[in-house]
Amino acid sequence: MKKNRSSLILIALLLFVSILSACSNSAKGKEENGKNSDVVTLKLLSSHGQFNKGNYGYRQVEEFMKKYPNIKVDVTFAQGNNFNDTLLALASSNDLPDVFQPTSKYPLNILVENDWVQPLDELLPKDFKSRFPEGSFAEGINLSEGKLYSFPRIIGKKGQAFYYHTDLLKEAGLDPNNPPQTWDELLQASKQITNKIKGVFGLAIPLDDQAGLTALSLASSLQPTLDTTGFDYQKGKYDFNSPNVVKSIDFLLKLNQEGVIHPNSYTQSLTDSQGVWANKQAAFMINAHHFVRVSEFELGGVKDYDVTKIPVPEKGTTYKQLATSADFNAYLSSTTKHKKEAALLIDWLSSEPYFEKQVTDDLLLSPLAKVDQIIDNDQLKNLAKVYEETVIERPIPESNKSAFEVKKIESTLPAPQPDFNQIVQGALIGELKDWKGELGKLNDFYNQRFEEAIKKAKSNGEDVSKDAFTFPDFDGTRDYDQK
Amino acid sequence: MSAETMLDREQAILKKMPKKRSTLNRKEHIWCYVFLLPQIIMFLFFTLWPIIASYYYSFFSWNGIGWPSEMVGMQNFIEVIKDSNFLNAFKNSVIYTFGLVVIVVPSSLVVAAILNSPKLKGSVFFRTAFFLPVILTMAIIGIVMKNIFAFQGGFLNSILEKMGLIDTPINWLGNTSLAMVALVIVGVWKGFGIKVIYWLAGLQSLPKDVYEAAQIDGANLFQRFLHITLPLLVPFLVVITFLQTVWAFNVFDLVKTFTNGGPFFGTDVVPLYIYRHAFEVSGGLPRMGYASAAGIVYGIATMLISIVFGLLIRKYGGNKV
Repeated sequence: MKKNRSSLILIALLLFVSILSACSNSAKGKEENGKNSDVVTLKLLSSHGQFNKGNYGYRQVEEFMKKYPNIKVDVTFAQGNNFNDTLLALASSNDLPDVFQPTSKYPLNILVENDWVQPLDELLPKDFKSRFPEGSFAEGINLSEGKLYSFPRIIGKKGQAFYYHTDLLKEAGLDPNNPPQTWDELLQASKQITNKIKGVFGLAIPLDDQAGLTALSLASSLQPTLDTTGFDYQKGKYDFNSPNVVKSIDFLLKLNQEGVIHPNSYTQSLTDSQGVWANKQAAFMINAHHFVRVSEFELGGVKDYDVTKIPVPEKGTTYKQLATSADFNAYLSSTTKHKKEAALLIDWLSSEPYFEKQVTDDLLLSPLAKVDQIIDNDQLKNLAKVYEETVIERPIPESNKSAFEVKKIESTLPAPQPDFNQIVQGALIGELKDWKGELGKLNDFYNQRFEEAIKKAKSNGEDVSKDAFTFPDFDGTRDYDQK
Repeated sequence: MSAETMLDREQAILKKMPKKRSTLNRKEHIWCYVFLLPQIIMFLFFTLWPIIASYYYSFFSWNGIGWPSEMVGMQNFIEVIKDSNFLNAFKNSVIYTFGLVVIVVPSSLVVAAILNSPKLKGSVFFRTAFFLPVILTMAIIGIVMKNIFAFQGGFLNSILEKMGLIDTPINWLGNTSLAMVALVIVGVWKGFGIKVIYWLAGLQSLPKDVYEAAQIDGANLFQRFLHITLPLLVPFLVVITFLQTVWAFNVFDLVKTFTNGGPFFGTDVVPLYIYRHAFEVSGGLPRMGYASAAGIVYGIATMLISIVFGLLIRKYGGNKV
């Protein structure tokens, strides 16, 4: 009897332990394995398609492992919201990957606020910063209190561009060398394409997740001091309901009314819309710097297309968009146990040969100007030209320590619902009649949230006001002198 | 052997028996608990603990990182109840659930009754055909259906156009009302097969003699269905309606992959609303405390529905089945 009872207890314990071990951190096991065989296993979590299995970044990591056989890198790629959810879950369970490359949802202020990252200064070569051009590092973007946390991954001056199919323009009787430059030309060309080519529409717009970004990208030619977060650096406040934003939404509504936006756009995300454009079901698309690479490697090698500036409301207007040359790429997690090895990987991902091949093999503009001179892809060359002509260096209020604190606090406050994207989508599908009223409410919400963050920062002892975010001299047409 | 001696023997055996039985019972009981242990552990870790934790979190302003520290009392609950988006999601959940219950429960009974007929040839094929959607992954269904219901080049619009039922394609997913219709259609298709199986189980448990008696009395097929089958199936009706209601009330994966709650909150349901606040907030960090409060409010609503059904099951179920 006693024997039976003991065996029962043993079985029960075994079951309990097996369940617990299944739930526990698998990384520990790997680490132990690593110790046994003198191989250190690093975890890299990336939000960039470049690091998807078989892609350029992934292949470069394989090269890295060949060079350092004692380091094994487990690369995980997760896109957009999947990445955001994953990172949050890992951070919550205190299991952050050694190195991670976040989306823009996780700027430095959030990472530092939550103590997810650690400085790189002591771990990287002394001349690390000198690899990058002037302006590549800035407080609040990749530096905090003078300490280096990250570095640029792609060209500093980047933003949105206008992608168009030259063959579709030709087929519709339009000049493929003369793409639409104004809103009216865009509307007319779209109408012509929609009417003349069966099953093809003027524009593919990912209204599910980028309706707001499209509206702000169009508005930026009218209000170049407004960035894609809806913040106006000249006014020092959010300006979602400015007459210029309203005008750009009105233009989108007009395009919609004329039936030139691909009708599947209403529920499409960026990935879906890219597919529609790549399959030549739409002639035009507004998209970012990654699209040349995506068109070539992820959408089956799109042919007969080119890149130019986003059309402006009327002739004589110049298209401008804001960016900062300073940018973020990979971060070293605060909990890594393999600082030295992780630093080697970060160094590898920021070396000149890496960036050189990024331009030639991966069709992605690099942060190193001299490397970008070797581009031999026509579309990428044109994209670089568009950015050179349109992108303006914005002020960086976050460089001010107190303003950085405000941004940190702001990021922890509740976000509005509906957000800007949902309001524009609601207006386009006709469900939100009073979208202008909703824009007003949204703008008030953001500005009140901003003021609350300033108030909280002040109560924490920071000497800060809205002035730290207001740059009256900045007109959005010339680079802001950060000095 | 005298009768007295036999009686003594029997008494002696009986005296011994209870002891043996109790040892056997105890042994059996221990094994029961051993087999239940994994489930109990899973229940404690993955069901009970998250429920208790979400009650705790709901009183905090917490973004899910670290340990909650900023207590806000009932503020999250007040905000949830006042939030028009929550009320909209709740309304959509009720519409979706109502649509599914009203369509699936009676229609699956009719189909089950037909499939139960011994005269039907190929009933196995039909049963398999109806059951197939049940085993398909919801996320895959959502993505495939997105293409089927697409405005331009969508399979459904092409079929309707070819059949001459429509002149211009219908924008199923670009209109809030039609998107909900599409969602209900897919929900019905997905959950139909399992309800047919439930009804079939019910139908096959009904006593045959009652039908034979009715047939002798001259009752036709319809009369037998109306006056015998339906009343006898009431306990099953309550259980199937309950299961369908709870299943539809908690729909998440289909909505997430098919419409993502859009367009413009037209198909937003409470589980998706909770998920969005817990993980997918744009322009800020997630609000785990707030999402927990929304989950509790919704949980209470689901519990009330369960209580109502529980009372109905007690009334009509039990020994009658």
